[in-house]
Amino acid sequence: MKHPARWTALLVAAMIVGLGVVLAVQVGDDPRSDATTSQLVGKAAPEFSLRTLDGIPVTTDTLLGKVVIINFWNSWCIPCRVELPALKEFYDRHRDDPSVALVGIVRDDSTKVIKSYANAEGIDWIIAIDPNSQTALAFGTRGQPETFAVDANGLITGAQIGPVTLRDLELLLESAQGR
Amino acid sequence: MTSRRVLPWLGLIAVFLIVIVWASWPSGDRQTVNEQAHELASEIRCPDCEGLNVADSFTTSARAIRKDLLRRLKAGESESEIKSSYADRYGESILLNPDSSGLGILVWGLPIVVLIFGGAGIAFTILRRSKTPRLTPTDDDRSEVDRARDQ
Repeated sequence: MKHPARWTALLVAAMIVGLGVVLAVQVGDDPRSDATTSQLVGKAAPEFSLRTLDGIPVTTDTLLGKVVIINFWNSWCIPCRVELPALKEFYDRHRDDPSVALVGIVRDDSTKVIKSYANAEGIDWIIAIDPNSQTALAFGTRGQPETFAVDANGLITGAQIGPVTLRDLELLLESAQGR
Repeated sequence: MTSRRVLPWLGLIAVFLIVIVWASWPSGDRQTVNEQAHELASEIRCPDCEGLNVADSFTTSARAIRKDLLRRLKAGESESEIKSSYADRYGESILLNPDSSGLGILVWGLPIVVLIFGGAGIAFTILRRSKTPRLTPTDDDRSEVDRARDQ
């Protein structure tokens, strides 16, 4: 090699140009695109063991065999209030179907406040309290509201981050029913 | 190049290497589980806030994650197992340190490669200069200098 320093400089320059090209190509990709969708769709729902407002156990096992819509929420979250009418209508449509369950899991709120809120709003579906938000964490939630559809075998078939509409809920139900 | 000119360079390289080794040498102090959990929390992005890690955030999720990290470390899970469990649930973007595979290898590897080749380039340059004979004045040069002095 006649001019090693020159070759080294050329190599370093080529690498810098290469890096520039790679960065330019990648610039359109959002590195946090995985933050807008649940990573758990297609995987088994995390196991949980919670209690309702009346102290009745709600566990993965008690819900097995049913199609379950799980909605993470709390009383002070405005988007949760926005989606409440849709949840009410969805529940009214399916409350007599024994193969379908709607479970609201409350994170970061007090049982007393939730009891009073549920009574005032006429919420009749299963409401379970998630102490320390450990179940919310197991589901990989990023806040509330977040809604998951779980099929009869305990597999997560769909998820939505943010408030749901009645149509969203029906689509989630259909995904869990395999339709 | 005389040893007088090479010595400062060698000294500089020695200081550089000593500083790098000293900075990267693992500390002899054993971390407590709480310290380990705090360090791990600083490497995980807070899922429900912008631009903060879990160690610096006070959201519900961050508090829950801190508690979960402590519980897992106490149960004997390794840091890589915990990180991979979070990446499975939240995606790779939950980890603040870039992945050391795929494109992420560029972030870790390129500075090292540039350092190695840059160092090699400097070494080659020094060696080449040291091999170049120093110029000595010829008789013509001396007489020209003398003529200039006489004027």
